[in-house]
Amino acid sequence: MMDVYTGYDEPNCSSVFEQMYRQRYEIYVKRRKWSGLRPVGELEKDQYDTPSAIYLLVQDDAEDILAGLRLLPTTGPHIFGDLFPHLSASGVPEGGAILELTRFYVAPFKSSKAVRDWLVGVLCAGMIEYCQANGIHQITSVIDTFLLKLMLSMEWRVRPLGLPQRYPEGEAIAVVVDMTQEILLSTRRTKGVSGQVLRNWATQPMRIPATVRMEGASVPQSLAL
Amino acid sequence: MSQREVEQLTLEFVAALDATEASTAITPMFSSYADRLGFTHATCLRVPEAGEQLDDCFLLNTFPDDWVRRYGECGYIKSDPIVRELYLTYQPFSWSEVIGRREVGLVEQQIMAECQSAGMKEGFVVPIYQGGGYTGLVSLAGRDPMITAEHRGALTLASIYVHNKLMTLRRHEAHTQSDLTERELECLRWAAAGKSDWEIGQILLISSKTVNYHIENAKRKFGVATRVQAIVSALRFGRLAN
Repeated sequence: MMDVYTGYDEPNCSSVFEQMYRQRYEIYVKRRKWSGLRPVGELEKDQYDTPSAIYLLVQDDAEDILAGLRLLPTTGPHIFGDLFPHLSASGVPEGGAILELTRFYVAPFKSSKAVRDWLVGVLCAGMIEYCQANGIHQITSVIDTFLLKLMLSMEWRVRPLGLPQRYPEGEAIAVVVDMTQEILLSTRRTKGVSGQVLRNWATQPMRIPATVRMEGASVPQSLAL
Repeated sequence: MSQREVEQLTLEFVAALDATEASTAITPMFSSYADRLGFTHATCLRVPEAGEQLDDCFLLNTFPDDWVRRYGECGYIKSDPIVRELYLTYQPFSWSEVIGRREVGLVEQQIMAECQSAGMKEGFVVPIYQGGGYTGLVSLAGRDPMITAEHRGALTLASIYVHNKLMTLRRHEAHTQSDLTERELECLRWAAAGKSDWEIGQILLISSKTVNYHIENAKRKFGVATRVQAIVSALRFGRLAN
C-alpha cells in the first residue's frame, strides 16, 4: 500500500527515510549520474528534504519501499522556482494548491517490466488520490523526456511550459498537470491498478504482497513488443 | 523564426493537439506545424507487433507515395543509414549528423541520392523510446530545414505528443472493438507477465477461481481457445501495450 510521510516524520521513522535516501543514491547518483547532487555517504539527501517536504512511498507487506516520490510546496523553496525558472515561457506556477513533483522512482531494479510498470501506476494513482484528498489542484515538475512519455502514456494532460533544454543528463522540460478525476481513472486503467492505494484515505487500501518482486517471470519473448 | 516564435508555435501546437479527438485532424495539424519549421514531409510509425508488416504501422505519413513504395520494394530498410542509427541511440538526430559521423556505403549513397531528388535533403528523427524499448518514431524531412538547438527541442516535444496522441486514439478505437472489462484486462496483463492464477488472485485480492473466470471470458470475447492466444489478441489490439 502507499503511505504518506512528511519531513516531520523523519526522526520517528528513520529506517524508512534511510532506505529511501539509499535508493535515491542508487538511482540518481550511481545510475543516472546527476551532477550537482551532494550525497552524504551513500545517502542522497538534499536541501529540499525539509520538514515541509511530503513523501509518498509504496511499501510491500514487509515494509520495503518499492517506489516513491517527493512533493514540495511551491510556496517555499522548490527546484523549478529556484533552479529552472528559465524553462518556462510564462513564469513558474506557484500557490497553496500547487505542489512540485520531484524524485520520482521505482526501486526493485530486477523486477520485470510488467511489475515496474504496475508500480508506476500505483505510485501515480496514489499521488492523484493524495492531491484530491488535500485540495491540491496542480502538480508542476521539471522532468526528462522519459518521464514525460510515461505521464502521457497514462493519458495525463501534461501541459509543457516551455521547450525542452539539453543538459548533460538529458532533456529537461517544465510541465504542469491538473490533478483531475479523469487522469486518476486513466492511470488506473492504463496501468492495471485496481481501487484506491492510499492508506488513511481508502477504506480498504490495496495490499502489496512482498512476493510481487520475487519473480524471475517476465513477458514471454514471443509476446514481448 | 526567432527562438520565442518557435516556442510559441510549439506550445500552441501541443495545446491544439490535446484538444482534438479526431485522428483525421492530426495529419494536417502536424504537417502545417512541421512546414513552418521547413519540413515538407512527416511520418509517425509504431513498432510492429509480432507478425505485423511495417506497412501496417504508419500512424501518420506524408512522405511521397512513390518514394514509400520504392523504399519497400528495394528493401532499403536493411541499408538505410537512418535505421542503422536507431540501433545506436535513442536520442533525436538529424540526417546530416549521421552522415557526417562515418563512411557511407554504396547502397546508402544511393538511398540518400534518391531522397535528395525527391526533395528531401535533410531530415530529423525522433526515436520514441519508453520503458526499456522502442515504441515508435517520428521522422521529418525537407529541402532545407533549420535545425538549431531550439528547433531540436521543439521537434522532439511535438513528436512525442503526436506519437502519444495517435497511440492513445488507436487504443481507444481498439477498446470499442473488444469490450473487455477492466478486470479481464488486469488478469490478462498479469497472465502475460507469467503469473499463475493463484498469484494473480493474491495481487488482485480475488480467488484463483475468479481469475480463471475472467480469463475464460476474455478468451470467449476474443473468440480464441487458449490463454496465450487471448494475450496475443490483447497485445495486437493494443490493449496490453502502453
